[in-house]
Amino acid sequence: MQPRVKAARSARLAYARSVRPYAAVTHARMPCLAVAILALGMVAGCESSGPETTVGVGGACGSVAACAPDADLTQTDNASCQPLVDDYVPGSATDGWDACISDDGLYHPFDPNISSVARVGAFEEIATLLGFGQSKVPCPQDFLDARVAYSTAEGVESRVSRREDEHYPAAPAACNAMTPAELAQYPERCVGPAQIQPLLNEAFQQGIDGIDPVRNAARIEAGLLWFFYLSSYKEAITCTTTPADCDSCYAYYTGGEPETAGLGLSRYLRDRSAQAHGRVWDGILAVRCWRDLDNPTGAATNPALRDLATAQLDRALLRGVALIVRQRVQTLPCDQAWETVQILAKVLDREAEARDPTVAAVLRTELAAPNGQAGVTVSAVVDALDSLFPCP
Amino acid sequence: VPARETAAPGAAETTSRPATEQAPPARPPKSPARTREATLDETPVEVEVAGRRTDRPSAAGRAGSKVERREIDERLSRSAPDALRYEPGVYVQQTGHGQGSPFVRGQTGQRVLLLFDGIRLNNSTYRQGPNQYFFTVDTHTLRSIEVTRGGASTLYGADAMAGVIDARPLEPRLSLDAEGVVLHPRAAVEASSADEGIGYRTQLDLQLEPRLQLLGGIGGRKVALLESGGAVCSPGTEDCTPSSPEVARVPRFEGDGRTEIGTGFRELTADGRLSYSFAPGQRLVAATYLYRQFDAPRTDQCPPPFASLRECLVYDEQFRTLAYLGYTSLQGPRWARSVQTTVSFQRQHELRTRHRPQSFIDNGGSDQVTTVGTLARLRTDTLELSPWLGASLGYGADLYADTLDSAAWTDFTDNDVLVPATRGQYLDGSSYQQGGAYLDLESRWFERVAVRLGGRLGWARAVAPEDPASGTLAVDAAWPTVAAHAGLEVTIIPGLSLLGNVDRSFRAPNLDDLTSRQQAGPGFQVENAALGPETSATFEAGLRADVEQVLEADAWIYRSVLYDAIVRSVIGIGDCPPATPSCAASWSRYKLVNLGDAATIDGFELSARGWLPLGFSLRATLAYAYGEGPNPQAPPVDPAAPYEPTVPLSRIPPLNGTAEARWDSTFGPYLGAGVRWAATQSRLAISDRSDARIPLGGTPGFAVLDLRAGYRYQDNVLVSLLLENVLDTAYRYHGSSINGPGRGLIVHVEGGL
Repeated sequence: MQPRVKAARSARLAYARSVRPYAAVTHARMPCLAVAILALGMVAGCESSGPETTVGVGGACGSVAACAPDADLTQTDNASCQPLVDDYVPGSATDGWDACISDDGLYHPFDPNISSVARVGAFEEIATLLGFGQSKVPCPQDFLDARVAYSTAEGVESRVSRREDEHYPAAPAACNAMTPAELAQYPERCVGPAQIQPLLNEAFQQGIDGIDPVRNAARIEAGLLWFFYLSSYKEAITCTTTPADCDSCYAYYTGGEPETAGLGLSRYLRDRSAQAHGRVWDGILAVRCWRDLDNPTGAATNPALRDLATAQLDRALLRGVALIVRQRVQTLPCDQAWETVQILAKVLDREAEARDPTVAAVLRTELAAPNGQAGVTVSAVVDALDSLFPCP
Repeated sequence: VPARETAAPGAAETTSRPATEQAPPARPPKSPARTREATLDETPVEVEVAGRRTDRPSAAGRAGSKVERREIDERLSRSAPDALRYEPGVYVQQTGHGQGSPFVRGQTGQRVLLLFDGIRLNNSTYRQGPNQYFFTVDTHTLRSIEVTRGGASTLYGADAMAGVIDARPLEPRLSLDAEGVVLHPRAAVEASSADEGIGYRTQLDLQLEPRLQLLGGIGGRKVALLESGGAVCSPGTEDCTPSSPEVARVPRFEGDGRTEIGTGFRELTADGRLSYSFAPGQRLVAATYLYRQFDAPRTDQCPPPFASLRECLVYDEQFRTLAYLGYTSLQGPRWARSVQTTVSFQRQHELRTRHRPQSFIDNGGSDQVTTVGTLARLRTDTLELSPWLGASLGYGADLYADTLDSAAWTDFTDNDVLVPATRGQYLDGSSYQQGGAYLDLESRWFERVAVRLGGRLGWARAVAPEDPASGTLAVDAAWPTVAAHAGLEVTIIPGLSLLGNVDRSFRAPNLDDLTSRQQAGPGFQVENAALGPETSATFEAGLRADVEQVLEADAWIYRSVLYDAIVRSVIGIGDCPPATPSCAASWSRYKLVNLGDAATIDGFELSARGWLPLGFSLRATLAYAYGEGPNPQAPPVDPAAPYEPTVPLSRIPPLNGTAEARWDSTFGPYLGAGVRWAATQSRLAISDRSDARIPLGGTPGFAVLDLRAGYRYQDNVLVSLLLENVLDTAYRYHGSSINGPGRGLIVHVEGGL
């Protein structure tokens, strides 16, 4: 638990010289030396003083929410689903793929040091603090600690703020070079800074201020799952030129863990469908297999094989995200679940529209019910999801 | 204004606008044997004679050079590091517009000792790589900057492994014949177009009586974004536009493809120097120098590669305060003919914020290093042991003690909440002491041979508390330190000397090595509390020519051998300390280690200045360094895996040089031109390859032409113009975050009484 210090902006500029954690007092430990020595204090630039007050985190918290959306998870596999004919199947001699490094069913990283693993670790830390899927009502301090974990240098925030959705055409400029006004013109491609980041900012800010902690925790959960889904796919695409990005594709899904012990997004899928999780795992191995077969030490040159692998991965990931929505919508009127459904259903909309515009419209209509979750027909949503995303 | 302004008892002839500046650069005097009284090493009061100009440093028998006030004025240097760009063997790297780190013989940071008036600026937080601290020396307060190349720990202590840079301040002006109070006010303004800079300085030179003078000044400057000549790409790239995939990842540009984001800063300076000559040849000085820099971005982190344009690491405050009392004497007893003693107080303050406005996050950090120091340097009179043998002995001691405050925090600006970190970049409450004593014997044989021998014994001690929350170990370690040197100077014929030096210098690990955790240029660096000292052995030979009134030339070759060199070694995520998620999340991670085998830097330096008729003069320099050391990474388990047993040392500058031509009238105007150039540097250390400051594959070569013109009227008026980068070349000094200024004009106007 981190304490927090509330301070005037002017004072915080130099929370500098005598900051001691857990204490904050007005101080002037080192007066401007010039004044003391040769009366040159006319020069501006004495070091600024420290913070003035310390406040605790108020607000009632720690109680139990009305529901826990993940309290009764069950497996949802579809026995009729089979790999497509050109899907990569580890160890299969009939899948049409040449033998490759992935055939033993394990992921073999290009580099054992995968920085993305730490970001999934941060997600799990945040999940514990905010009680993702549980009945916890997080305290403002929990949100503050979670935001610290989220905002670590080179951490989750740093990647959310630059994440682009590779499903959409590239914008005229890199999203990280755009102004907020420009970002608003490309919300789909620049999904990280344009959509996910504002969502997370608001949820953290409100959570720290003690506003609607249950819903805000759920928004953070959904926003981060959105990010990890996009990231795994994005890294598969950019692995075309940077082989080590395949490792990040794997790590953003599993947290760097083996198939049976994955963290982050893979934990969500594994808990809901071993089948979907297994197919995502196969997709990741397909990506790794492609790069093993396609100039593994340099830029890839076989876009057809890449497209096969990334399509296999994305199809499985989408099924997995759909299953999260499916499971959560069935726990309505749980508040947390409603937030998940609203946010992650939007993630599915692009592909849903592409597969069946009519059913996609049903899904959109249900989730845009004017009276919120009370107006949702759960069975209609489940049917739509099963229709749109039947198999991984 | 008095009629005569000249030397006074116990004081130098150098003044706040030295007499040397008032005359055209006369040819150098015939001075094959520099008097010991004029050496940098121990002599507190330097004797300069009007009309003399020389590139020679005052360190006897050593490779080096000197930049004088006049050259600083004419080159219109933006900073103290910038003033060294034309010096042989010096290569100036800039991580930010408001930063600059001089490399000497391929080394910088902890391995180059910075001095101000003989007082150490280096403290225990100087980093392994480039640092910004020499930028905090205000060039307007300087009389000269002397560079000694090669190890020099015998005289100066730790860190002087590759060289010493000594900034020497202006002295108050003396007016011997004047009675009563004498005032010399002075004001200057300066503007630069490439960064829309505007600066000023006002200065007052006050003589209360011939024995008591005061020189004080205040100044300021504000510069905006720096416009470069354009993007810099990997060597050999044909299409080098900001959108090219081969373009260096930093800096980022505005829409014009030239203006560099993450540049600009503000600064304020103030200084006061009180000089009291209480007896002939003796002087007491009380001085303080303040530098206050605000809002200076670190360009390679503003924004970092791939981050949002709005993310920026800014040094909100970069302050340095130096105050000292000094006593100097040239007329002591025989056993202490020259004396310099100083008691100093220095405080280095740094407040920085990484702004991430897109997420309402500011990561703050602050470090303060307070250093108390004292030194004494003495030298006996020259003892004439026989008609052909004379000798003098220098001796002295110094002691510096640092205490360190450090903190870090995260500020969520939308919630108005600060969250302190358990530790800062350093460990709060750490301390560091170092000191030593030396002997330095110089003997002259038959007026043709000089032999110099010296040695130092010292120690260093570091103490830092543990921080269990971050897995930081406590440090309580001490190291004895030994340095020595031997030099030989043979005058082959008058005007031609052969020189040779062998030097052993050292550097004990400092608090940065032992305790800091930081996002450095190549990646995240974690501390190593078990580091040991590093030492260097310098072997150098030089040929020095002085043809009276015609030529002054130096040629040096050297080999520096680094033992137990402290370098960055890649570590795995599993080696990251606990509770430091930034380590594991970074693309690359490093830990400082002592190399098991020796590393070497071989190189040469050439410099020559020639005087031609009609006021023309020419100057040229050439320098090269080749650094190589054992691979800090252990060989891979798989013997078939690629592995280089030896690798280049980090950020070694490429072959580089300068050429200058100058015409000086006898009635005020001057004209000049200078070319700075560097070859491509593609020899990269492992850590260089992940350093965003270095384009993929290396830094391309360049040549930049500067034109200068100006007018001087005695000591009353100075107008200097610099048309920099006339050809608008896109260029970058190797290892820098910023590209050099594009074509632009700098104007300096100064007047005084």
